[in-house]
Amino acid sequence: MISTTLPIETPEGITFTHELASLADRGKAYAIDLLIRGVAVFIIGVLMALLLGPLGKAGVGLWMIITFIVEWFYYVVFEMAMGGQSLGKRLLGLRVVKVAGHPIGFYDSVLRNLLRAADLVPFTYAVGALSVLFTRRFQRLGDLAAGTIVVHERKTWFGTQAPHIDPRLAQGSPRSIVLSNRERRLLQEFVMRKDRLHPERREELAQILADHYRRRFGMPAETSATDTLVMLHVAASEERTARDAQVTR
Amino acid sequence: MIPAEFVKRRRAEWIELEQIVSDSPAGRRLRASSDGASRMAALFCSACSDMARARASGFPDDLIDYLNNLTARAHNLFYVAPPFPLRRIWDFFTTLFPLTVRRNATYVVAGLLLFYGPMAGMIALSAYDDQVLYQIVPKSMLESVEHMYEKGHASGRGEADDTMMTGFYVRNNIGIAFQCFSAGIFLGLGSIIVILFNGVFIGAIVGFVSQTSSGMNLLSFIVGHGPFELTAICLSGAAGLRLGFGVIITGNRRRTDSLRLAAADAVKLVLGAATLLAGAALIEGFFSPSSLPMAVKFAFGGLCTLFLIWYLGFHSVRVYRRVQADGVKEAV
Repeated sequence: MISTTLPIETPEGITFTHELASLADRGKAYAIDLLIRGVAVFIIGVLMALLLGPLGKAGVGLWMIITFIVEWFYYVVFEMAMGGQSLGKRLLGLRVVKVAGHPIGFYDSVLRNLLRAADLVPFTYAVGALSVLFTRRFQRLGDLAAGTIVVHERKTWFGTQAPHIDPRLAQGSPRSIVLSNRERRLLQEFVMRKDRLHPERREELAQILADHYRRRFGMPAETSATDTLVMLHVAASEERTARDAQVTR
Repeated sequence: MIPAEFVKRRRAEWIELEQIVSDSPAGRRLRASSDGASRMAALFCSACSDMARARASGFPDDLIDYLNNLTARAHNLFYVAPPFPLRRIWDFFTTLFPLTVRRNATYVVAGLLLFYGPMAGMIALSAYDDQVLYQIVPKSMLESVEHMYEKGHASGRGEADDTMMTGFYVRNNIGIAFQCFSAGIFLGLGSIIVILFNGVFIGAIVGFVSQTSSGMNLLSFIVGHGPFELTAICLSGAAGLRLGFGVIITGNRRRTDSLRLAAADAVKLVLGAATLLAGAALIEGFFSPSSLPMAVKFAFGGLCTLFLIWYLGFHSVRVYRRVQADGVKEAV
């Protein structure tokens, strides 16, 4: 199965999921880094020409060493200094971590970045891009060798999107029904998403779920599938609130 | 507990943790002894259990997502890589690199043979049959190299030129070593091509020019940096071979695991090779073109060769035996 998330189990005994970075996001981060490197090399070059001009040819030698370091070790330096992020990755909220979710070490960083030379053959990272597309964890060759992945570091907030629920439906919802956690979450996911779906498509999707609940709770078939699910969602939340209130008391 | 009440009770701590995570510059270590670090540890642990609880109770998805992302970010800050003390650099050259060379002796020997074999072959060929030699490397090219060394180095070269050429050698040679290494991931083929090509080419040049009047000029030039430079190219080839054969010969491991294991050794070989090349670049920039007598240059080249034989041969075997005897776990 194709999945863009990777579960990581921590020593704390919980599992959280990392969202793997897509090829497009990694490409964008690369473009930003390329731009930064280009500008940096240009500025260093101008400064050296102005300040170290008298050095002449010796300055050229120094310049070649600097471009060598920027070419091969830009990523290593930043990944070490910023915990697995280059400047481009930082801007896009990406981070390099080990497959098991640990931070990367010095050798990991050197490996994955030296192997860019293999990933970018024959041109524009063709091999690397194919490798990202065809591996389960979206890894290019350098990632495979170093055992690293690139993940999204997301910041989200909760409780901001409340679903719109028609008050009339809230009135007519059935009483005292007991649902499993999974059933309740399924209903919730549907209700959260319903306003973003085209009405006909929404009804079509709701139909798949509704039959099961209609049979189970003896609800009338003439109510539309969408409304049935919304009513159940309301009922489930109310039931839960009542039950929890009792337990807490 | 209902979600709203859960959030009301726990929210303050989440926001505090969020604050710590956002305030820490990416990847910057929290000082382990500081109050902030222990406070963060406590907040991280309770956020983890909050998430487990939210999941088990079937709380809303956006709440679970929020906690997931918060703990994920805190986790990345909490479990950072250990610092890299300078001592590790010393250990690398005294222990880790020689040990890796010995453990991958097969690949190192293969790298040396793939380079020095064709090189010796071309030198022999140039002594017996010029015409075949020109089939492989064009005569015009060999002659142009000969012209470069006609003048000799008796008058030396300016310091500015020396510095410029050192910079060039660093960028060019280490770049080639890195490319030779990474090309090895394609089943070792890329590395084999690079070292074979270099062996043939350098052998042809040495063989051709040494028979002309410029011969001693060329030999006295390359004898100083040659040992380090050529051995380093062989080592980077060996690193590439290790990588490639890690993909081909997997033993009982999954292919990616086998590659990962091979790469952990290969990266140390190539870093050692890069260091040798940096040394070679300094010698090639300042010592090789100097006006020092040829005898000094040959003596220096001999010493470098002896050092490499001791370092990569005897010393690496000794380190390997010691590590085996101690059963010491190598620091990866």
